[in-house]
Amino acid sequence: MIRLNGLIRFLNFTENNMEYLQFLLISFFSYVFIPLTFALSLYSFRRFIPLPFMAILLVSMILSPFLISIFLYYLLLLIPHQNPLFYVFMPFILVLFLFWMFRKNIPLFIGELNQRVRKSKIKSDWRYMAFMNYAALVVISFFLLIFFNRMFTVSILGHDMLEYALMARIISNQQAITYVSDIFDPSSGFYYVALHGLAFPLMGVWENLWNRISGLNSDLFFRSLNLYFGIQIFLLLYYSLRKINPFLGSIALLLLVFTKGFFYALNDYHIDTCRIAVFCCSLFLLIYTIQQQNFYLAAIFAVACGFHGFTHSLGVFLSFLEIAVLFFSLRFNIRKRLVWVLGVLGIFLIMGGIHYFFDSLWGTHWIFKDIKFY
Amino acid sequence: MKKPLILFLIGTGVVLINILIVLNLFRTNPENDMNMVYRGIDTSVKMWLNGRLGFFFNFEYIGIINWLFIPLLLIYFFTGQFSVLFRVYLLFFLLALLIISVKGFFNMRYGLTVLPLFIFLNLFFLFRIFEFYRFNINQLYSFLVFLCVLSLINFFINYRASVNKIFIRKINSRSDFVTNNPDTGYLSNKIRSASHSTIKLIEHLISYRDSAEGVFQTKLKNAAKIYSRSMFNRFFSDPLPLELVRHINQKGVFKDSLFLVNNLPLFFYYTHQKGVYFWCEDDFYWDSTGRHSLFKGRSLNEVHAFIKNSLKCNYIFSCTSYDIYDPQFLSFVQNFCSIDYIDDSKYYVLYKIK
Repeated sequence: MIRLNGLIRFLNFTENNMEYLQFLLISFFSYVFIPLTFALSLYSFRRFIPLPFMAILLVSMILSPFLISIFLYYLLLLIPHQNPLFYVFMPFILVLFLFWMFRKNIPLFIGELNQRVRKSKIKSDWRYMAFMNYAALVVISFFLLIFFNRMFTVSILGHDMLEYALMARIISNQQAITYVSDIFDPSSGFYYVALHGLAFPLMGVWENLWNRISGLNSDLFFRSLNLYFGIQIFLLLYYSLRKINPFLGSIALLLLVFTKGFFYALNDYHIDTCRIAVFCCSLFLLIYTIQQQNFYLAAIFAVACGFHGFTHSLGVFLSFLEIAVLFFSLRFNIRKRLVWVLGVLGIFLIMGGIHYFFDSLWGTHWIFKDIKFY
Repeated sequence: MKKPLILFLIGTGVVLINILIVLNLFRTNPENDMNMVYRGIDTSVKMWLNGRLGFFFNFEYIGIINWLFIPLLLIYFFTGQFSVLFRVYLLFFLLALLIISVKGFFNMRYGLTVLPLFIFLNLFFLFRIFEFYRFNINQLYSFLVFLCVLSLINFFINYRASVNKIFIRKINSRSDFVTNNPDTGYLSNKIRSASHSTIKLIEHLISYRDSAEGVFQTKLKNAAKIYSRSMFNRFFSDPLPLELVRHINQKGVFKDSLFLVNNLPLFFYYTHQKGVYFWCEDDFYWDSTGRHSLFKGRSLNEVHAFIKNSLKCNYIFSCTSYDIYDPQFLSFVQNFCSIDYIDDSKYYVLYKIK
């Protein structure tokens, strides 16, 4: 029998009130407010950025949690040892500033959103298509409900996820990002053995900073990342195929969720959905960039590549490959291509790639040390 | 006439190749490295199919449609719809696969990176091929529904298989179970070489036992039933060994004691005690100066003295399935430690060093 005890507890709001309230606040800010503000910013530059409205929304939803990570990274690297309030309010102030700056476009943005939702009804050319669409929706909603419920009942127990959570704890305890050859916590004896970027642990730092202000000890937001990025993968895949044929979109979602590896990736707290979502997003932007030959799009593509690299070492290699593809696909002379690619590489470095440069020189030496791959 | 034939061949091919690969991959050599066995890459065939080319053929984790990319790409090539841009994309994709194959073969999670892309490309190719050869669109829809049903069946078969795999791992790791059975070697070989169905496994295990061992049969059957149930319940209940964590967090009990922690970061996350991070399979422990060997170049007596006097550890926090990764560590635990606390699932265990 299916017991949705976690969900019921959450909806009842009877115990752990403050923890749930904090989770709702962080989630609203990170999953709703920042993505919408980021989307609003991109939408305001729609004359320069030829992305469809829904694509802007999707890209914003995927990239926004990483914006928090990169912002915290630079704050903790350049202005360390400040009050936690400082680190929490700085992103907040920045987003509010963006919101205020582009406030004139809000009615247009809402109007467009409303129009897209109304237009989203699928015209069926096959009598079973509607059935399949609903079947996909029901199956995926059922799984997501179980995973959402799980988030409130099951603690983090996986090895890798705990490594990231402990790294987040080390950073938030020292309120600084430092590069040392051995990441060792003398208070607990924990040694960080992973070699990947800090984007994911910094999302944990984000919650830990809220914890420091509220005096709570919650990791609900960190647990929810898995599911959030999983949903983004579904949306991006559906959106990409729906343009070709809506039926393909529904089938793709079912094929994805019926794969044990992906099912486990959604079920077990891990970095996987996060890095896969940002990888898919960078590819999505690469295709648009090559089609439109637009430098602003290339800049957003570079941001996605930077975040992908900052999340996982595999992302660095895949991002370099993607940038190479961009170089060969541009329809300019070699000199202009080089200028574009150098610009993209610069943004890639600023948006997280630089971490590996620091880590290789002054830190754990990243992949330039004796490692055993698992 | 041609079109239904092609459809039939594709459909049959999907089923046949799935069956062939599944049959091949379930063969395991009992002498192989346990870590490799659990990762499904313990033989050279499995290393290629589940590891290096796992993003195509690891049907257990990656699903059954990824390999279709190869024939679909070839068919798509003959449709003549390959633009220069598409070739560049394709080159990128193949290079990405190469990186995953070289660096990520050991862990199937890396193969998962390209799964959404595979699904996108396969469906895209199928759509364009059906369009090019002017198949009826309903035939495409029917074929996709067929693939979906096949994926669902594969999902349930593999979910069941993984439950059994973990069950095998658990009974393999129960040191008390192994030491209490005189023919341990035979038994564990049987466990490892058995098929992935729990019922078949149990029948396999009990087939060489006479009826006098009825207690053993009943115990194993019950264990399998309980385990299947607990695997389902793990979606709804917390597997954190809360009582054990509370035991370790007791104030005063472990005062001035350090713990040797066998690759279980949960110790550092959920307890307030101080530990020394250790991983028995690689024989490394880590401190502020980096990693060092523990067993290498030391006898068990010397290791015991080193842990007690230099590392100042009086306890080992481990789990029974990790203990068996290294025979030396297992021997140390059996000869120099006693169980201080073991959680209800008999998985996490706190040893007191004598």
